[in-house]
Amino acid sequence: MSFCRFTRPLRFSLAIILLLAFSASPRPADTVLVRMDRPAKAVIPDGWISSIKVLQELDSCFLVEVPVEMIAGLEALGIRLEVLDTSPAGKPYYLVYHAVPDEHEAMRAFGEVRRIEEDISLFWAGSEDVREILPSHFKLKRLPENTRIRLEAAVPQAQPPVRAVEPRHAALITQMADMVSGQRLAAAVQALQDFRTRYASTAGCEAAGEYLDGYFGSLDLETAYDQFSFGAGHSSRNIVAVLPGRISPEYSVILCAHYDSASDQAGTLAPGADDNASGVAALMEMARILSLVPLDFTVKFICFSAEEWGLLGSRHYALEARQAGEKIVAVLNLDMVAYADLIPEDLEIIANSRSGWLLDRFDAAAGRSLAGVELVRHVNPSFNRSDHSPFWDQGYSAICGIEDVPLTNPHYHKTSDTLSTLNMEFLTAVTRATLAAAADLAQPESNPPAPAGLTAQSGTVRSLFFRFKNVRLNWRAGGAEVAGYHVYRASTSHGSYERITASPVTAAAYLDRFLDPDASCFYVVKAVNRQGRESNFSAEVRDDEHNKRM
Amino acid sequence: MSTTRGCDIRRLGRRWLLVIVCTASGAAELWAQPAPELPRMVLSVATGISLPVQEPFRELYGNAPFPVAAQAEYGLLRHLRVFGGFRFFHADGETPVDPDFAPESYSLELRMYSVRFGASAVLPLRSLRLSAGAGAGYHAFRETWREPGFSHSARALGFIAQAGVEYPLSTRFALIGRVEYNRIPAKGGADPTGSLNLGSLDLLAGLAFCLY
Repeated sequence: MSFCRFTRPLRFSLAIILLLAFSASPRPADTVLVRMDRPAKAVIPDGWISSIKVLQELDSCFLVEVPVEMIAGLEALGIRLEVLDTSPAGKPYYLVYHAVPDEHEAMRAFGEVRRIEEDISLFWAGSEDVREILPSHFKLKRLPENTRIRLEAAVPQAQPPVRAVEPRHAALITQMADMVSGQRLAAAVQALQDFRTRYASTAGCEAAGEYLDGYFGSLDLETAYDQFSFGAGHSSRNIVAVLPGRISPEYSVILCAHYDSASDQAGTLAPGADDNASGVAALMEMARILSLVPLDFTVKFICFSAEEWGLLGSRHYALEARQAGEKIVAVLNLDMVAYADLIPEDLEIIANSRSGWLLDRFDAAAGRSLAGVELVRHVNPSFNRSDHSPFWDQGYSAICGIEDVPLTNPHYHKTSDTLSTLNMEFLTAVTRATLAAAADLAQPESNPPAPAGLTAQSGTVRSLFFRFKNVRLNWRAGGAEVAGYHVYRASTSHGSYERITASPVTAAAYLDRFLDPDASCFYVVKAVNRQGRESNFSAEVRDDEHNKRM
Repeated sequence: MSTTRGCDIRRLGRRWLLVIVCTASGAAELWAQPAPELPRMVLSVATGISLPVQEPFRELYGNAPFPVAAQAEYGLLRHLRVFGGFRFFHADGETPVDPDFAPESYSLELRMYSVRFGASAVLPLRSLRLSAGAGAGYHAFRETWREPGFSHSARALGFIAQAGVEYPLSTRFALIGRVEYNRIPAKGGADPTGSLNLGSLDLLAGLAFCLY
């Protein structure tokens, strides 16, 4: 009765309002897990990007969760999609790496499986303990749920110009690399092997963790257990040892390796000498040597656990680091670095596209220390089978050093993976190379001290026909010995820095003006003392890193 | 409160009534005078203020004083003239300040030289001559950042519309008032997503000389 009294326009307006209210009300979107080929550049509208949840970047594709209703739209844009699972909510997915393509079919006996790339499949089963389900020779990665991976069209083969090692550091770094002892490395591998098994969730793994904690503590490093739980009621601990930086301790270089092991008798015997007592031994030796030298940036030595369960320890650490806003300059991960199928053996270094600069830095710093061992570089986002990968997922620069891709060690994940099968000369060379790269990245302290607290804010100035970016840099003023500062700029992160100040500026601030607004710039600052001697570089900042509206 | 508002409205109404009465009486006075003879050839020069029509232009340069327009008009027919002319525009500006970044701005200058051609209809109204016309303009402009010395020069073809009034002071001279609308679409603006219009609404006053 009362509704009938409404005039026609009023009724029409009411209908429109109701329609809008229903359409605007939030309702849970049904999502599907999709394999999406790398889209051509900028083909996806900006408004859609936020609805696409990227779970994994691979060489040829992304694994993404997208709303069902977006599928047709993406296909209409010419993007090739393959729906992998229509109800992905809450399921633990694993990437499984297999050496032989036929093994993909073999996995069907254990659960659901979809082929992603030639040697990578997506696997899920009712249980979270996939390590306990699949045979031990399958390498696993638990698919992340929260990532900072960006949808990028192509994998750029990053080739930024290489910045040479600071000449005054070169001698010191070589001297440090020469301190690496093959005997100590062998002793460390033996000590870890003697735990019989370090399979995560066993007492042997816990005991090995306590041994490592004690070792790093004996070097006067700050140590901590980073506990996490996984699977059906299991828990384990990452071992974190910290060598604080003297100038910018908030920035850290992470050296890591997993200390857990696996085999076909993992519960009782998994010596894991190559996989990965070798990487941990290198870490222990690097900690011993680096702790003797004051460094600008913090160095963290992290022994991850549950790598064999799907990179669970590093996944836990990297996610917490991102959530805490940890400033990680670089991550160097070593995994299986002591078996040599050929003499001389080469060391394979793997990066993703945003870590290309790190590949170059490693190459530049390690070259002098890696005598007799060739470095083979790969930019391959599909190489996700070790602890560097969760750092990629969180947007950090990371690389992995490994003896062979694909693996050639016949003792891999077997009880025969013992010290007697390893080439300690190769492990020594790898440790020297990694130590040199780590020292270069963390920067041995110099006089005058490098500027700290560098921040960058960018703003755009424009007229009718011009648009420029101005970047304001600020840093903490140095002591009385500092006469001024030089500002350096690079177009790629950690690229070849170009000095932009003709003479030292005396203020602890600088305005870099009239830059291309569509290009990113990266800055570092050096202090100059009254004798004209320059400090190390400060930590690097991107031009918009401290913008208020980010 | 409402009483005060009512008083304000009544006061405003009285003012408007006064304006309308004055305008009407002035128009009636003009209407009563005999229509003057229309000159065939008129030269004029005028200046005034230029009001940019597009927001980014206005934000940078504001209203620009003293554009100079010189124009020659020739009567083809009794009520139709063709015109050709020259306009000079100069404006000083500042880049806008980004409060989230730094209170810093840069001094700008924009110069524009224009040549215009068109036709206008002329209507004698007692002692006045009213005109309205349209045409095309060819503009050469240059924007300069004074401090670093960057400059950008370009040319553009545009549209012009004008309406004016002439009040004869003598047989040779007349006072003129003119409103001009310039549309000057410029390519290569700093905002790649927007279309740039350097046009403006010019309010001009000046002197005309009737050759014959």
